[in-house]
Amino acid sequence: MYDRKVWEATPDHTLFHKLDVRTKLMLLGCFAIVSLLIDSSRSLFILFCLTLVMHGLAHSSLGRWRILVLFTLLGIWGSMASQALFYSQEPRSIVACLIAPTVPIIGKLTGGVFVYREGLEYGAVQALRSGIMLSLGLLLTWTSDPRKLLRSFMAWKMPYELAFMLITSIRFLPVIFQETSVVLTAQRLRGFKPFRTISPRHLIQTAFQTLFPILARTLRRAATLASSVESRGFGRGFHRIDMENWPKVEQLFSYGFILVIVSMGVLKIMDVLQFNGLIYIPAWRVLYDLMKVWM
Amino acid sequence: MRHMFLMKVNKGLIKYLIWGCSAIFLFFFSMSNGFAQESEISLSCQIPYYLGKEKESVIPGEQIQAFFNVENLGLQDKQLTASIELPAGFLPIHPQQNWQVMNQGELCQLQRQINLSGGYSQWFDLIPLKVNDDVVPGNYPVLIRAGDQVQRLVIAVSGTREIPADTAFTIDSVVLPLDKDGKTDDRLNRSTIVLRDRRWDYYKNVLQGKGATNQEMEAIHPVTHMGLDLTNPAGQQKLIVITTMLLDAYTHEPIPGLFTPSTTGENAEAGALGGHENSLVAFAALTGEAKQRIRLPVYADEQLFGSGGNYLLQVTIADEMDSTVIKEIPIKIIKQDSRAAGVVCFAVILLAGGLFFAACRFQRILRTFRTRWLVTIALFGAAAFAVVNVPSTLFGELFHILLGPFGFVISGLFSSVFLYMIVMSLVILIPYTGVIALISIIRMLLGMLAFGQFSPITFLSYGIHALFLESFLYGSGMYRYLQSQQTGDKIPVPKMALLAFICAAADCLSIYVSLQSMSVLYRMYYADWYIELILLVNGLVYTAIGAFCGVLLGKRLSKVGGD
Repeated sequence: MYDRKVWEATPDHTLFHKLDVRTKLMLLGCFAIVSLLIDSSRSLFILFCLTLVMHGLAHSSLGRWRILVLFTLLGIWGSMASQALFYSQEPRSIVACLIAPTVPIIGKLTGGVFVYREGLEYGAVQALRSGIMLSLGLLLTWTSDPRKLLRSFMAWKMPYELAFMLITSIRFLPVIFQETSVVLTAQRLRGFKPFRTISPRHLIQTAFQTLFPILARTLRRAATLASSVESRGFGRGFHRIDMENWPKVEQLFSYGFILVIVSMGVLKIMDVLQFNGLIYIPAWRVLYDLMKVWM
Repeated sequence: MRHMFLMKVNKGLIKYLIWGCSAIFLFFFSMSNGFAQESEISLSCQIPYYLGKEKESVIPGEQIQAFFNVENLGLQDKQLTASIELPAGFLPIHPQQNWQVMNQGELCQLQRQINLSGGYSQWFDLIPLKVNDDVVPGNYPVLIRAGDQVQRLVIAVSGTREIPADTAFTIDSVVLPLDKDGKTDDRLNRSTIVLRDRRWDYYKNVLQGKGATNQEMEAIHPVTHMGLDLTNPAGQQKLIVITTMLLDAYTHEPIPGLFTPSTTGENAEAGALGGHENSLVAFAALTGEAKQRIRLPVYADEQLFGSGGNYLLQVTIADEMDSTVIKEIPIKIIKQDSRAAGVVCFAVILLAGGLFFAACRFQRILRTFRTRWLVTIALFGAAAFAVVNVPSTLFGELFHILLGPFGFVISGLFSSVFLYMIVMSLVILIPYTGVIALISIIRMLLGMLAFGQFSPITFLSYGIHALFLESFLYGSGMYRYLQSQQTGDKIPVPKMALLAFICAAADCLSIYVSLQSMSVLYRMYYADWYIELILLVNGLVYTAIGAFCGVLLGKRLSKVGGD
């Protein structure tokens, strides 16, 4: 269930491994804003392809590509499925009818549930936004040592206690996964079938039986761990490990990128203002036209 | 003496002047009575009659209009015979229902009886005429009579015509959007109609002090204007009926949305324009100009459109004589939905305020937390991530595939029941302000590090969830109540129900904000029934069950290793 080689960062000598974590975080934040600002399907697709190219440059292993493709496809499929059902723009052509409007109660409640062809296309395009974020997020995770990530968070004034909690949870995450697996196996051996019936009482009982042993062991472990860290002086002042210097070139690149994003944000705001008839600058006509095509 | 003499002379002069004036007055009075009797009927005629730019001459083959106007200025009812004697080469275009047409050799006379009531009354008519193609240029007299009134007009014929008179007019283009003055706006895309969001109108009126207003009547205003550019090579002059409809881009089926004012609400089917539902109907005049732009206001019912989209705009021009002229253009309708954007803006402001408040108190809260509590929260956060986030991320979309729109029924077991069992059990174990914020932060950061879930929506949904739940628990005094409880104490059912209700309310709000932020930031559509169903099942039922079970679980866990 939890293959460290696939999920956790591994050292390498690619550009993305060498980049400072702060640069990568900046890049990720900028991409998050860009993907929200852009409406053009063409631009979204180019951005998504760019993130895949980055994975190629980062020498992502086959297992990671599999995960990336699986996650992206599932995300795209989820958006397509939901938009195929809820697409409300015109024109829309019905591909299939899931629930006819004449079906008692549910048909009247929903007004009929149909699969619209245009919704499938629309969902696929809109899913590119989450695809871009997912792809870049995984790239960051797979090319950055969690300790460095944590240090960069701390360099950006993350409270020490929070950082401690985060690293504790990261450390014990595989253990909790294993524990969950052990609990489920033990319960299966006792004849546990979680979805034997859909009776609410049975489901709640199942949840109770699964969570109690996991949380009870977590609680005991917390007590042991707390004693351990307190005995090592946690909370009596600490020496913060300084971050390595942020390379100037990367800093400049990050700030430049932020400047571009801010400019794009300003343009978008100006476009919204002119669309709503609030502020219009005739001299910006070329920019407005460019935005219509690319943003 | 001299003075006396002058006085006598003046008196005589004054007397003569008075008599003279009286005589003149009587003369003009008698004359005016005579004129009045003579001019009780006023006749005017204009050939050619132009609606647009006036022309001095006509061209052979051209269609023209004769405007005939008679007024009765007298007190008595009048019965008159009106007639027009057309010169050779001039003929009425269509059979005249009310006029009697008599051909006298090459001449043509149109005649009819008209009744004019006393006091003041007016009668007029527009008679379409055609100038024959072979008419030689020159001046042609026309004799017009109405009772005793006779008028002579001259029609000047000049030049030659290359375009046949029966050449139909065409619609060159349909231009929209235009403003009320007919100007195009560079800011707006061509062939685009932007519908405003009317849902907040009531509140706007209340805030503006307008009070209770008839929303439907207030909504009757043009959303934009459109211009019909017509080419009229034959210079036809006539009244036309313009019908504008929206069509489905694929099926060409009419789509409701456009309407003609006075056909909605209480006045439906009333008035001259009644009975034209789902179409925009207007009367206009062809002025005879070679190029003409007809400007029309466009009325649209915003409530009839889903979310807008691409349509066909069909413009049909018809008159009772010629065949209809149809023009279709693709148009885009944009419906502004400010509700989702408003919800997201409000949530962002709320979250920013909450973060500012938390930032001010964060260190103080953290200092009150023992190391063991911090570790417990971290491990519970990891457990919540393993039991809730991982299955939701890995299998959430699979449930979509298997159950379609009802996939949330299964995924909700993880995201609501399991999550609230863990969160509430943690609250029972550590009932202090900040515990939910901390577990949410851990879950969010783990999601970022493991699955790369870095996105504004992640921040917003986790942040709002923590903010509401913390605020409600603190505001309801549940933290204080739980702190006062001993390990073995049982929590009464009403308190458990209150906890469940608090969790359900907070979850409903955070789910709603998440869905609206997906709509605004990721441009996703969700049906209202879907949102309501998720709020009901996941937000209310599952969360309440999860919270209820979480309290029981927490109580049992406190026996294992609580403080």
